[in-house]
Amino acid sequence: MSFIQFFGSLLAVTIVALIAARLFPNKSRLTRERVINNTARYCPHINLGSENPTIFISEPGDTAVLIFPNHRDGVAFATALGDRVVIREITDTNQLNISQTEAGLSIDMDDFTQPTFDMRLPQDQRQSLLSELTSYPNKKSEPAHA
Amino acid sequence: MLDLPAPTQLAVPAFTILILAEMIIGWKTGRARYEGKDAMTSMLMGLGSTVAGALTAAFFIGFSYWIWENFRIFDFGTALWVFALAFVLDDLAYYWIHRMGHRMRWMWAAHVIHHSSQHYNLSTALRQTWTGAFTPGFLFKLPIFLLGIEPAIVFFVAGINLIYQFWIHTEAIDKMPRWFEYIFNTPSHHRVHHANNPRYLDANYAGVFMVWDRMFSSFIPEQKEEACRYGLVTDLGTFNPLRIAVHEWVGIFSDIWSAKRWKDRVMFLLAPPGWTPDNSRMTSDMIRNAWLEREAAKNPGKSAENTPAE
Repeated sequence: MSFIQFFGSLLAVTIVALIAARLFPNKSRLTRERVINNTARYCPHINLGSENPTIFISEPGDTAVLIFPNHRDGVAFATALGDRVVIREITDTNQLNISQTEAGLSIDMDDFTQPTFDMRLPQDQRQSLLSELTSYPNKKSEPAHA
Repeated sequence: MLDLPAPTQLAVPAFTILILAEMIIGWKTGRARYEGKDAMTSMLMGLGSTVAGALTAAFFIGFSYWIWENFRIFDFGTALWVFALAFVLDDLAYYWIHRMGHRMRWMWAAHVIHHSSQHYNLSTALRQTWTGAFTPGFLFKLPIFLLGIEPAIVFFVAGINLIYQFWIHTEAIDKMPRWFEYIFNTPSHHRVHHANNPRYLDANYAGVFMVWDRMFSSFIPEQKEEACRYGLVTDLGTFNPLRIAVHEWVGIFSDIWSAKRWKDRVMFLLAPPGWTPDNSRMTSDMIRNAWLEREAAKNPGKSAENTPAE
């Protein structure tokens, strides 16, 4: 493969991706329903009906945190990735490194493809979420993917 | 050495035109869906895969010819029927490489890239590995060289095989005629292969001829009542091509580093993805069994197993 082929391909990739973005614009935000549906898909062992989780959704609607009041598995983090949603279930919140930023919370995750989870929240919700995350009882480690 | 063209390189302009065509059909009819960043990532992975292939080609060509020149049993020559035979044998080798690519974590580390999109469209076909050269997959092709088919012919038909597999990465085509669905890999069969629904996990490994899956009991038909959901059991949280390309290798090295026994270190390479000594993660078999148990609890007396093959 020559340099001309390489850079020509790179240009073609960019143009095709721009056309895709134009034809299929993604303006959807995370909603309670989207978060619940995707959590049910990722975590079929959690009975979301009986759990009735508390859900914090970030101001831009790109991330959310689910707190399960009864379930042994603690919390789940939802992230909008393009027009799809990625869920991470965390069973040991004590292992999380949570820091406050100017706009919200930043959480370090033990996850190579999602090393940090940033969440923009108003001050009151920030405090509330922080207290939920830090007061959660210690559980076992996060199950990794198959 | 026989001088044959590289079919996949010649097909690149056609790939681009077909992606644009599917995009427009999807935009007009809703039968295909794209996402800008996802499509860009898939195509960048494809470009990276071509570069990685070019960097390692000399080694594989040299090694194949060394095997063929020194250890071949027959010399089949270059007649047209040899190309046809090579195509069938290469497709059989592909079936086993692909099957092991899902059942052995070492090979999954390279192949996982192809399954990492939550979309299923023609751009997904281009989402290919950068690290295939670091897996033992190539060994499955050695019997073809030993039999006596010249490596250049095998590389040529493998390119044709990959071109065939491009068009099956689409939701825009529902089903092909019944006879075609029986013999060949189709969009319907391959949607099942890319699905992460527990019902569909680890099925339909064929490249071109679906008969291999029927023969080796890995065929699952697409069910009208259960739409395919695409991606991994736990999807990746990034569009960064470099992180996508190496994430499973990082996971393997991390697991091997923290393993306490040599047996576990070896198993982290050779066992199916999701294997751990303490069952703290789930393999696809475990996910499927858990799903069957949930379904049995929901519908006592009714099996959720797939209907028999067509």
